[in-house]
Amino acid sequence: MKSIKQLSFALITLGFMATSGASYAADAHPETPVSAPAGVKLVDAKQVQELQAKGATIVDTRKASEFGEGSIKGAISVPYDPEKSAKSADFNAAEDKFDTAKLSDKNATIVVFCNSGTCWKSYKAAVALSKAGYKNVNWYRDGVPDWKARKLPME
Amino acid sequence: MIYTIKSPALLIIGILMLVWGGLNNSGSIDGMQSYLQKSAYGDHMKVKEKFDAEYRVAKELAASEGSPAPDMKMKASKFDQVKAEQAKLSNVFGAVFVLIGLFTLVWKPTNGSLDYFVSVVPGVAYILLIAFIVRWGLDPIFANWGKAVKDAGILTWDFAHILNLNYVVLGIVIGMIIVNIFKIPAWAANGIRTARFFLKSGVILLGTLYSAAELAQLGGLSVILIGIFVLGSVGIVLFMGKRMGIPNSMTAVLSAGMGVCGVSATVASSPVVQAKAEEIAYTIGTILIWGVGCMFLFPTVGHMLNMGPVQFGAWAGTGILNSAQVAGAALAFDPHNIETLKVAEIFNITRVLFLPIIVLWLAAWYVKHEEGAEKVNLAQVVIAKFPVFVLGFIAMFALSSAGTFAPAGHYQGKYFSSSEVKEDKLLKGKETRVLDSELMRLREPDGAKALAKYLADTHVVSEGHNVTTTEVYQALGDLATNRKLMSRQQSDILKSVAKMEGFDGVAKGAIENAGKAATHDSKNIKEYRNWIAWLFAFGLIGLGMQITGKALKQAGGAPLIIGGIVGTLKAVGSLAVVLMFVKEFI
Repeated sequence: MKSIKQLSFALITLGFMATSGASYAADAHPETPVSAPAGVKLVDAKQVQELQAKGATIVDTRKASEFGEGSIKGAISVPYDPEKSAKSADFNAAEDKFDTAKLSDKNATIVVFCNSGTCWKSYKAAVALSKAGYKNVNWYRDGVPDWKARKLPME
Repeated sequence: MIYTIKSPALLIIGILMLVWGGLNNSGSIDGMQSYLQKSAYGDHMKVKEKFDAEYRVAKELAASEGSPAPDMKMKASKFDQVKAEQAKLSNVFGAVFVLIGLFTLVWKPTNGSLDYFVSVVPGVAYILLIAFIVRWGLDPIFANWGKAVKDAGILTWDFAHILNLNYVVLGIVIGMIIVNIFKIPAWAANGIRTARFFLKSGVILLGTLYSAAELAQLGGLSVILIGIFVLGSVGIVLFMGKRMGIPNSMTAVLSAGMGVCGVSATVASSPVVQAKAEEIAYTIGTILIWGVGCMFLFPTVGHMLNMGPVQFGAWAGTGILNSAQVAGAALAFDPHNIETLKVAEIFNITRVLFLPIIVLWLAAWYVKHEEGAEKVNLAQVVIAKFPVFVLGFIAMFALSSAGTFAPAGHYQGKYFSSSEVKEDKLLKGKETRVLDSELMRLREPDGAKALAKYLADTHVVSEGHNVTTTEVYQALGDLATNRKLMSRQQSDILKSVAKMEGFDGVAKGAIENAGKAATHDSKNIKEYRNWIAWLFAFGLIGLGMQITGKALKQAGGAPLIIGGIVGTLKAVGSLAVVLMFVKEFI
């Protein structure tokens, strides 16, 4: 009797460790790809400034509250929020909300950004825009932390 | 008699703790910790991204000037702080246990208090090790699972949150598993008996979390309604328990659990009436099963009776026993609006604030009934036998109400203060401009009409009346001018209005930011909360280790019966009262 109890306890513990291990593995903090998705151009801070000077629309895809706290000067807020899909290149855009009503001109030059590295909002927004037929989508992967570090104009 | 038992167990536990401390310090388990300490890790990623960007830019600059790469250090994030705290606790206790463990192995014990103190240490170390596992491992794992299951759409509710699968319940369950499967090792027995002492210390500190001043801010009706039902259910349980011949301690714990607020009230009152461990387990089990049932039943009944948000909030806050389940029911009833949740929370908080009164009552009741039927001088008995630590709890509550630890109006350390908003948390120019233009829009005929309709449809209430458009204009204008929220009422009004269809996203974000900036969490009380959590985890694991299958059988099903009857009475009674007296306002 005693040994059955202890054996079943050992099995339950193993099962527990396996499930917690599995859910841990599924929950890493992945970074976005370092190259741009199809139909999108990867740009750096200098290129963003050049595009902005030529009249490009700079789009902050972070939450509206983050945009309010400070963003690239002249940027507009088009939040990719809430973002519920998986943080991977084969994400399902149907799980997220991205209202592009503010971006009416599909031929306009658009630069999307959020925070760098582990922030997937701008990557997903770029994919969504490109799929929706926007022709000149640029992705500023380094995003706000890079812009701030370079002491470029914020507002 | 010699108490100390020679065993290498203490030494081994000490070494295990040192290993955990070392692993945390070296950073080799960062991957696992990032999963367990999710929110702290989120902060870490932000700090790291900022640092990485600054470092990259500095390096580029240095390269273009031909100077060597700069030497920069990353700021400590919340994640680093969490790891440092775990490492510190593990290392300090680990070192102490290793030293005492070595000492026990070479020492020849002699009769006396040194022998007794040394004999207690291995058991304390044993519980502490389990407490580490529960608080740093199981608690976050279950919280993650609860969220994952909800996000995946398997359940519509967070099972870990609703079933209270935090360190309180997990501690008792782990203790029960250990005693029923492995038996308590002889070297640990003496230390495990100290569990009650730690539980009492936790209850004393619990007094710091509540403040009578908060009660004054709550609506008059909620205090009266809750007072009647809390005191009524405690009275009925005490009466029924006596009639059914259930032990006084069992009856008393159950009355606190059924009357006040479920799990924490049960834990707080258990040492007051010297409740046995299995009695606590029974009470918590009864409350949780009952509460989960209510959580599903209440919203359905509420919709069937076509109750308004204020009515339902009042009913759920009065009739349901446990805080998490109150919030669950309120959200299930009305997922889109915060009105129901807000009202339910007000009633819920009122109920929790009755805890000090109940603890005093139970202490007096228990002393009186344990002394038997002989007509002794009641006052004398109560004074002689009154548990001293209850006075500690009441003293802490009084100090907390006087504002010693945090501004007097706080609830569990959180409070609203406009004057303490930091300079860099004031709204930015861009945000005030957006708020101004929203104000303009809502003043135009179309906007004003939509706003008035929204206020009426969703029953936005504040301080006992329907919010008017003028108040909304005033609040929006004040926020834009002062760049911070000026009062709790305005904060609540604006949060409701921000949910309106077509409200500008950035303006809504600005209201969120302003709300966060004006809500403060007292550092002192945060520290106390952490201590309370440790003391309760420790005490409850130790108590769990006293619950054997046999003890559970002996306690019998009576608590379930009383719990069911009183719970039903409370649910039906509060429904009737709410339907009769609560219209739309609190």
